[in-house]
Order: sequence, then structure tokens, then C-alpha cells
Amino acid sequence: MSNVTESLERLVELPGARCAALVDSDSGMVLGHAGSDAGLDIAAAANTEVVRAQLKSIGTLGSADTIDDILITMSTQYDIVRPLAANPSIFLYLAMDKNKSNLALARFKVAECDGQLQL
Amino acid sequence: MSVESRSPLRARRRSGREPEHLDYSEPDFSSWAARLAEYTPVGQATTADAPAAAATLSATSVVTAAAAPITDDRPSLESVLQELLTFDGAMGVALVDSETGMVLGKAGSGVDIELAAAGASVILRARLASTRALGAAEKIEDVLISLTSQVQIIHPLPSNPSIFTYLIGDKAKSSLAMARYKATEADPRIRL
Repeated sequence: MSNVTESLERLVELPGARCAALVDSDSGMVLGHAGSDAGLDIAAAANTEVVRAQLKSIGTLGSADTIDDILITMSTQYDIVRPLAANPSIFLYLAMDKNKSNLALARFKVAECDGQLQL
Repeated sequence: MSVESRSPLRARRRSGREPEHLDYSEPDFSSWAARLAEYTPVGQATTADAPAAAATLSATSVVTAAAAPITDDRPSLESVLQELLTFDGAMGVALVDSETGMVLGKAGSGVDIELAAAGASVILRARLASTRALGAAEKIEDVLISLTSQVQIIHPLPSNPSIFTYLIGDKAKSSLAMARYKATEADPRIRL
């Protein structure tokens, strides 16, 4: 088990990582962050919308599924959003430089971080 | 002055030499209708012969449309979607307009794709709106969503980012990377 700051610091050390954050999707507030914080608040709010929309969509479909993770590819950046297994309304967010990072590795690391995180 | 006296042929007979730059070929009647249509727009024809002009124009458009060569040999949307459905574990694919959440075309019967597409539209809209708020020139290439039992891919068309291809697969059977590749590769073949 590790605390929030340590976990986020470890994610930001990944090659190509720009910033990592822990966000509460009920409020859109950032609970903790590491790395560059340029535009972090907006990105956190944007991903909050995405997570909420997805949770609502699952509810509408009447499915018992939960979100494992959401990967967003943009022109120059990858975003990984992963709601915590223990508390799906809180999610881990990792932004990475598309040219320098390894999406599969980062996705694995974020999943690992989810398992170890202690709030 | 009579018409005959102005005729080039008469002129040649009288002068005994060939006038220069005479075109004896048949006039190109086929282009006349097009020219007429060009110079008498329907909206401006307010005189008594407006209906006649309009009739000429519509007749011309029919001729033009029929004569236009068919250059678009891309397959139909239906067949592109059917082909997309061939990735392993595919449950459903659709082409969706994110502005309305409506399905433009779909294939597969594993899921209620109309409802899922409406949900996916909300996700994409939220994301597009926030990308605009960021003021960045970032374009969304795709959004991959892993659920407990499903994987979903939202792939906006490069030609029109508000319309996206939507793929749903069984998580246990499908490869996210392969499905994503298929979605990207189908882009140029999608005809709207």
C-alpha cells in the first residue's frame, strides 16, 4: 500500500508522462497531482464529464459492468483515465506525450497503481 | 442588308479568295443549354419567361446529372460496417452522429447499439467541448473504453469529427489494438 503522492510521483516518472492526478468525479476536484499542472484543472473537469457520461450510459443500459479504464488518443497526447476499483467515483488520470510514451506499459502501471493506492 | 450578303461563302465567291479563320465545323449545341442555365439564374428571372427559363434549367440539370461520370467507387456504408464487424469478439458496430446521438448505420446484434451510441455521443461531446475550452489544436483520434465485460472504441472521422465509428467487442475475445486498427483503416472507405 502506498499513499497518493507517492503513487502519482511514480506514474509521472514513466517515459513521456506529462502529469498524473487523482480526481473526484462527483465534484471534478483534483485530490492530488504530480508533474506539470498546466491545464490540469480543465483536463480533470473534462475527464470528469467523460467518466460521468460513461457511468450514466452503463446505468441506462442496465448492465452490471464497471469501467476498467478509458484511453483517449489525441494528436499529440494520450490520456488514461482509470476509476479506482475501490471507489469508482474517484479516478486516476495520466497524461502522456504521444511520441515518447508506451501506452500499454502506462496502462499496466496505472492499473498497478490503482491496486496499491490507499486513500 | 440580307443575310446572304453577310455570309462568308458569298463573300468568298465574290472576292475569289478564302477568308481567314473561318470555322466550318458544326456549332457545339450541347454546351448551349449549360450556358443558358449559367446566365439565367432562376431566382433572378422575374419576367414573363421565368417559367420557361426554370424549365430549361431543370432539364439541363437532369442532363448534366445523367451525363456526370460515376467516379465514387467506394463501397456502401452497409458493407464497410459489415467488414468492421469482422474483428474478433465483435458485438456491434455503428456510425453515429455525436451531435444528435443518432445512429447513421449499424451492424451486429450483440448489444443495444442505439442506446450505447447515445451514451457514447455524450462522452465524445463532453470531450470535444473541453478540448475546445483548452484552446488546444488537439484532435481526438479515438477513445478506448474498457468495461468489465466489454471494450468500446469511439473513433471520430478525420473528415468530420462530430461523426464517429463506434465498435463494441467482447472483452474476453477481442483485441483492443486490432479493433482500433480496423476502425482507423476503415476511415477512407466511409462514404456519407
